[in-house]
Amino acid sequence: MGVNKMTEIIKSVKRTNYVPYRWVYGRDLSRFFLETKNNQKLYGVRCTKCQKVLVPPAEVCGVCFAPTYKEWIPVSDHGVLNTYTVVNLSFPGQPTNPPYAYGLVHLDGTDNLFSHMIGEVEFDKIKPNMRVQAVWNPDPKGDLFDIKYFKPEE
Amino acid sequence: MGRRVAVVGVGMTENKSHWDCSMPALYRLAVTRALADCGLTHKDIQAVSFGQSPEYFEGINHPEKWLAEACGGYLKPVFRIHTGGTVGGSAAIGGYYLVASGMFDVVLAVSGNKLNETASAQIGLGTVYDPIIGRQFNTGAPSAVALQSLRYMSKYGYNEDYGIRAAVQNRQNAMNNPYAQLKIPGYNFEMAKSTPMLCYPLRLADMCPTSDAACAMIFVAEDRVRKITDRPAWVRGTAATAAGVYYADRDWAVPIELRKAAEIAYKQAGIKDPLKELDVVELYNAFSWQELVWYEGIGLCDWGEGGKLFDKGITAMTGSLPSNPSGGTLCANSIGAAAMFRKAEAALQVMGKAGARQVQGAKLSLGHGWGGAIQFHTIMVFGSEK
Amino acid sequence: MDSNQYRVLEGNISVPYRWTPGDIYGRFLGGLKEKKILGFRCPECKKVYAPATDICTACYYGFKPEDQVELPDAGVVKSFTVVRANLWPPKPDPEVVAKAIAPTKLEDHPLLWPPAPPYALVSVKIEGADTEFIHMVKGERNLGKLKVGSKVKAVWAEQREGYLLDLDHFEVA
Ligand SMILES: [Zn+2]
Repeated sequence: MGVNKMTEIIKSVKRTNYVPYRWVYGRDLSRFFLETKNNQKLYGVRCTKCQKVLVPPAEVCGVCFAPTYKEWIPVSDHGVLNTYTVVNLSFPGQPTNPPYAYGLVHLDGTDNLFSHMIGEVEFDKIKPNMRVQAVWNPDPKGDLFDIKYFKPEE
Repeated sequence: MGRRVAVVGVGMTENKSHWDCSMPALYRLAVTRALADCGLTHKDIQAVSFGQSPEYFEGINHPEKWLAEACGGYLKPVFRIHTGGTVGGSAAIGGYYLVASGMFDVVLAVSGNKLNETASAQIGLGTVYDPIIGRQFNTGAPSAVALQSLRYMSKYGYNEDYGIRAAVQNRQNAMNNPYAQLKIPGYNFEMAKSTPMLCYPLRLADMCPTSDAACAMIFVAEDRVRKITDRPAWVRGTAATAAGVYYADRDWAVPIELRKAAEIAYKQAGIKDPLKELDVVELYNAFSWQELVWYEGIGLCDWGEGGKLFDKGITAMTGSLPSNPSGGTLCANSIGAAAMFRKAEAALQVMGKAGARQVQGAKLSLGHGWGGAIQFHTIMVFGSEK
Repeated sequence: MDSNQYRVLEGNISVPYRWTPGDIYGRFLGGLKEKKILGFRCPECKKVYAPATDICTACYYGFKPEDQVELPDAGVVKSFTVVRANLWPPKPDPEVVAKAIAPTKLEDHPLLWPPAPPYALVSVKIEGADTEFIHMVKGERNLGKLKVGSKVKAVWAEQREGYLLDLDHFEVA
C-alpha cells in the first residue's frame, strides 16, 4: 500500500466514436429531392403570410411562424452569388480536397439563400453579385449533389 | 426585470491545451477560482447553470452527467444550457434568471470546452449542420464566417486590411491578459498580413485559436451582495435573441438579431447612446471582421459604419470606448467558455479587477456572445452602480 | 405523395478523439497498465474512490497525487446484469468507418464498440474502496456462479496500454 512514484501517468486515451444514423427527409425535402433527381428542377414554397419564397422548402416561415402554401413553385436554377469563400484550410470530412469555392446563391424568384459549391471558374474570377447557374449531376442520387455546383452564367 | 442581481465573483482558467487536466478538473478550477474571488464556498451555491458546446467537440454526450459534481452541484439543481458558441452567455443569463426570479439567492454559472480533444474542431462543427441540406459541405466555422466577412466587405467596400487591423488590435490587447492563448510579442500589421490565406477573405491572422478553457461567474441577489463584496458588477441589462438559418431576406452582414438584443438590453439599462455611455465592450469576435460587424450590431454606429468607427481609434485601448481589452475571442476560443469570458471580462471591468487590461474608471460595460450560424446572440450590461 | 417516396439518408458520424484523463485518473490508468488498482482517499471524509475521480463529490475536494492508495485487485459484486441480447448493430468494417464523415485512422484511434455478448455488467466494490467500479464478468462458468455478494478477482489483459480494459474482466472467485 502507499504511493508508488514509478507508476506511469497516462496522458491521453485515443479512441474513435462511430455512430450510424438514418436521417429522415420529411415530406417537403423528400419531394424536393425527388424533383432534383428525376426532373433536374428546383421547387420552393411560399409563406402564407409574407409571401416570400423559400428554397429548399420549409414547412414554416421562420420569420412569420406561418405555414407555407401547399402549392409548389418552380424556381430558376440561375441566380446571383451573394457571397463566397475559397477554402484552402484542410480538415477531415470536407466535400472535396481544398482548394475549393463555396458560396450562397440567391436563386431568381426566391427570397432566401441557397448554399452550394462553385465550379468551372478560376478562383480570382469569382466575384460577389455575379450571375451563376446550376450544373446538374448526370448521375443524380436525390441529394444536394444532384447539382454538382454553380458556375458563371453563360 | 425581476430582482436586482450582481456578479460577486469571477473565475477563469487559462486558454491553452490543458493536457494535464481532465474536463472535471478544468471546470473545478474555474469554479474554485470564482469562489475564492468572492470568499464563498461550494456550500453557499444553491443552483448551477451549466454550459457546454456541441457534444461532438469532446465526443461526450450529456456532459453534465459527469460534470455536475465538478461544479459543486451535488444534491443541487443543475440545469444545462446549450446554444452553440454563445452557450457561455446563455449559461450566464440562465444563472442571472434563476436569481432575478427570486427562486435562488446564490447561483453559479459555469461553461467550458476542451476543443483539443478532437482531431479537428471542424468535424464537430460540421455536424451542427442539417444532415440533408447543409452538412454535405462540412463548412466548419472559418468558411461560414468567410461568407459573412466577404458579404460585409463587398457590401460596404472595405478592403482586406480592415480585418487584419482589427486582428492586430486584439492581439496587442491580449498581451495584457494572463488568460489569453495567442500572445505574440511585437505582433504587427506586416506579421498578420503575411499569414496564409485559409478561407478567402480570411487569413490565419483573421482566425481564433483552438483552446481548452472554463469560466465561472457567481450571481447573487441584491440583499446578499454587500455582505460578500464592496465591488460587485450589477446586472443592468440582459438579452438573448435567436433567428433561423434559411429565413427569407437574410443578410449575413447585417445581424438584426444582435441589434434586437442590444435594444432590449439598453432599454433595461437606460442607455440611450451606447457609444457615449458605455465605457468598455467585450465582443465575441472569433474572426477579425466580426469585430466591425458587431460594432454595428450593438448600435455603436449605423450599418456599414463599423470600419469607419474603427478608423477613428475610439475602440482602441487609448480610445473612449475600448473594445476587447482582453484580446477577445480572437486570442482565446474554447467556444464553450468564450461567451462567458466576454461577460466575465465585462463584469471584471466595472468591478475594477481587470488587472493590466483594466480600463480606468470603467462604470458601464457590455459583454456579448455569438453562436450558431451567426444567429444566436447574448448581451449583458454591467454597472459599478446599481 | 406515395409513402414509399419518403426518403431517408443513411449516414454515420465518426470522430477520433484523444481524451485527457488528467493527473488523477491518468494515475489510475497507469496503475491498470501495471495490473494495480489505485484508489484515492479524501482527506476530509476519508472515503476511498476507486476508480479514481478528480473530485470527492460530497466534499468538493480536488484529489492530489499524495491521496493515492493501492488496493487489492479483488472485490465484491453489489449488483449485476447478464447481457445476452445483442442490441447493437454489427461492428462496422474498417472500410465503412474510413468512408465516414470524418475518416479515421483506426490504427491510431481504435473504434469504441461495446463488447460481444454474453457478458455481465457488474458493479464491484473493490476491497478498501467506498465507491463502486462498473466493469464486466465474462465466461459462462463465471456468469453461472454470479450473485450479489460474489467475490470477484481481476483478470488482466495480456496487452496493456493504460486503458480501462487493461483489466479485461472480473472472474468469480
Ligand atoms: Zn470527501
